[in-house]
Amino acid sequence: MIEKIHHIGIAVHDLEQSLKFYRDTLGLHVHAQDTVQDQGVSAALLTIGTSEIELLQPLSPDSPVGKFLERKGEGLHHICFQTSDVDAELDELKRKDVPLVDQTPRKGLAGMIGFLHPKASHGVLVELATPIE
Amino acid sequence: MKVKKLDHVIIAVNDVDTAAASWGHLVGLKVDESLNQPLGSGFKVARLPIGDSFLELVQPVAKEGRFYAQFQERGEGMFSISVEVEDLDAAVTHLRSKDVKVSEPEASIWPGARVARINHEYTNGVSIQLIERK
Repeated sequence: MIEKIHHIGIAVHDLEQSLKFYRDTLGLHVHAQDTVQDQGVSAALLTIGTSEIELLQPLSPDSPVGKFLERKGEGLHHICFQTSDVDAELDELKRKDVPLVDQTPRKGLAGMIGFLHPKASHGVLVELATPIE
Repeated sequence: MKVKKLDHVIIAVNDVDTAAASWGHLVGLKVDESLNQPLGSGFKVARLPIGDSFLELVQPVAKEGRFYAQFQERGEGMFSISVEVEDLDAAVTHLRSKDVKVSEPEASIWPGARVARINHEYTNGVSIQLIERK
């Protein structure tokens, strides 16, 4: 059961530079900032109502976000929906033969997460997440 | 300026009905039929509520205008985000005081709402629309 939009991921070249707009000009609160080695990103999470904006700077050009930047440039990268049970959601999608990037949930910035393959959803990269209490 | 929430996410699609069925299949979102009457024309729109936001699927119909030109260039995918602000005029004044380019506020395709667009060169390539609802 999908509950809400957890966050919108935005690919940027320079996290500090992007914070000047999203934090300083728009006035959004940064509630977390971290480097996630296994996803190859330096990230900041900013609160917007009941959702978040996730700014993602790649740690290297050959990381997934690095390749995205090279192909498409800066901009909207993915949408993440919050679910109470990411395990069950992925199982259900597998049963429907929906192409997935992650066959089982892994730990991400938003909790336990899984990505669908973008060809499943008309060019939109979709992430599902169950926050860890 | 006071940002209230992520109002909606605009997704450009080749065909609204096919895309709506796909979002239903993937994550169980459903079209809110009562809300599919935007003002003006040029595109077909479907609204799929999720939490206190919604996805807005937009299919260009008229082969002209800003949306059509950008759709031709970018194809299907996430197109822009719409951010609700408490006071649109105050937000525009604030952004301009920071030397950010913002369009003049205008009526939204949705009755009762006004919008202004932030130039994407200030937003790391993201099309951001500010929206004020009554």
